[in-house]
Amino acid sequence: MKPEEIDKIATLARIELSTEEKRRFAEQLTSILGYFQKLQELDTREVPPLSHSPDQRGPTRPDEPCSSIHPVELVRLSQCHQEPFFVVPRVLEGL
Amino acid sequence: MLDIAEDSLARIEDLDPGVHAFLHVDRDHVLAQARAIDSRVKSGDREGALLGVPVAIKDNLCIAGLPTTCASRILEGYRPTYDATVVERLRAAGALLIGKTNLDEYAMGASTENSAWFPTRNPHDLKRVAGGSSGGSAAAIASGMALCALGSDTGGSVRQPASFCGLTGLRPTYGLVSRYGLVAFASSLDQVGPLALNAEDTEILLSVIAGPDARDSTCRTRPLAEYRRDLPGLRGVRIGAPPQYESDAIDRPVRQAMARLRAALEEAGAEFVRVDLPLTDYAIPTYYLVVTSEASSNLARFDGVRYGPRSEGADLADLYRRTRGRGFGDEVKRRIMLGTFALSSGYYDAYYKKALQVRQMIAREFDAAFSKVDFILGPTAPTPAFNIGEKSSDPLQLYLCDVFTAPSSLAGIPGLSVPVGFTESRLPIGAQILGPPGSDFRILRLARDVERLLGIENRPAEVSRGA
Repeated sequence: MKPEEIDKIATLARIELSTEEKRRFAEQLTSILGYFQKLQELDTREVPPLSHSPDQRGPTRPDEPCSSIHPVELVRLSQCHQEPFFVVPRVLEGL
Repeated sequence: MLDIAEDSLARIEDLDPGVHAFLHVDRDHVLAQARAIDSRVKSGDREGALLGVPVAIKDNLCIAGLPTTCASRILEGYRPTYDATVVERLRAAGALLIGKTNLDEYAMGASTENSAWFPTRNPHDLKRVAGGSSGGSAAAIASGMALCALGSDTGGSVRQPASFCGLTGLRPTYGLVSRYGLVAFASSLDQVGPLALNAEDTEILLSVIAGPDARDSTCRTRPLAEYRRDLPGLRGVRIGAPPQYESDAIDRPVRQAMARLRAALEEAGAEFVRVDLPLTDYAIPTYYLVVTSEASSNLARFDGVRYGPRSEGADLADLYRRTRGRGFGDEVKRRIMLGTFALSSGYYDAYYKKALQVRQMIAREFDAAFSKVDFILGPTAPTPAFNIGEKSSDPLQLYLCDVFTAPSSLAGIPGLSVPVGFTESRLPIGAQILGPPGSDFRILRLARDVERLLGIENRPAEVSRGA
């Protein structure tokens, strides 16, 4: 994996990496992905992907009102909040 | 109950400086629970399968008001306002929640060396790892600081530490135990599982925590009692022995223990049948592509806005990048990077989709095997507990520790590790029993038979104090 690729993935993953980390991850991910190439040995053309455990039906529950955690309780857990909101840097210009 | 609570706390104070099983022990919280259990008993309520039993909880499960850090700096200071369903059920059964145990950060690892704070040590040999990722839970029991514990198992994180610490540990059928209040790592694989000194205690714990939960839509809706029917005895039981579980890459003492186990079971009337699992070798790449992809998505929520410490940035994206860059440890970053790559445009088909197709093939392979046998038996791990630091420089070496536990996770089937012997230097060895979906109580029944046949005494290790 090339350093540019590491940069691209780190941007997608929203993780700041040091130069040292980028160098190390490039090396390690190359080695891990090299080992993962093993899967290409298998012919999977006719096989449907399995993304969940088999016999998983995804049952829905009846839509009945019940008590749940109060949102303000959760907002208070944030290091930066102004009830009942989380505070983040401005995302819209001109307000 | 106060004396039990005081005893447990004193033992932790005495031994944990050497073992490092716990991340948080809140004395007041423990004593308050003990008083509450006492008054419950005084009022005439003696019901409860775990009345006064000290239980340790892995620190990726929420207990209201106590820290839940997943052994990660990014969750430092986070105190959830609610109990996980499994915790709620333990409380209802009268359990004494003794503390939160160490783990590999976000349960990513097989040695509990990836904790942001300290590695947990194996009570049988403090120079060695306790296994992982539920290493703190296993070490707490193996040193006698808790009687039983909850862990979580994504690719072997209950079974392998149980094997390394001489315990019984069960990964239940996917969906048998609620995950409400478990911090998600890889949602198509994560399961909460019990650990204890023996199969009987493991079964009691499973009976308390398992069963339908409306707050977890992936939870099975069948009542628990239905899983207990038709528990077979040993005579005539058919046990699958895959040649892939007998490779030369497995340590000799492990192979010898497995051979003794087979002889004892055959003597007792079990029939061994060869079943072939040729895809075993493909399970590690499959598993690691699936978990890293799911983790990259699940862990997107840890960005400094809603929980944990925040690193300020020029704009919101910068705040995310810096918070995550500082808050996550090495292995977590590596896995998020790997998963983000596997899901990224241009690579999705070759990596993530390919892994899901092989996952289907692995599930079918187990299905076919269970049409011929009741159980599959093999070692839980290729080696006993290794030295601290021995595998930490090469992530791939550590991934390969999951070779026998990851395949069944991909298939969603239950698996249990039961102690079957020791090496010459008294390190525990575990055997893994796998069964078809829903066979959890049958597996536990077989584990009890194994204990009886081998006559292994499961008691805490002698730990040198404050080592």
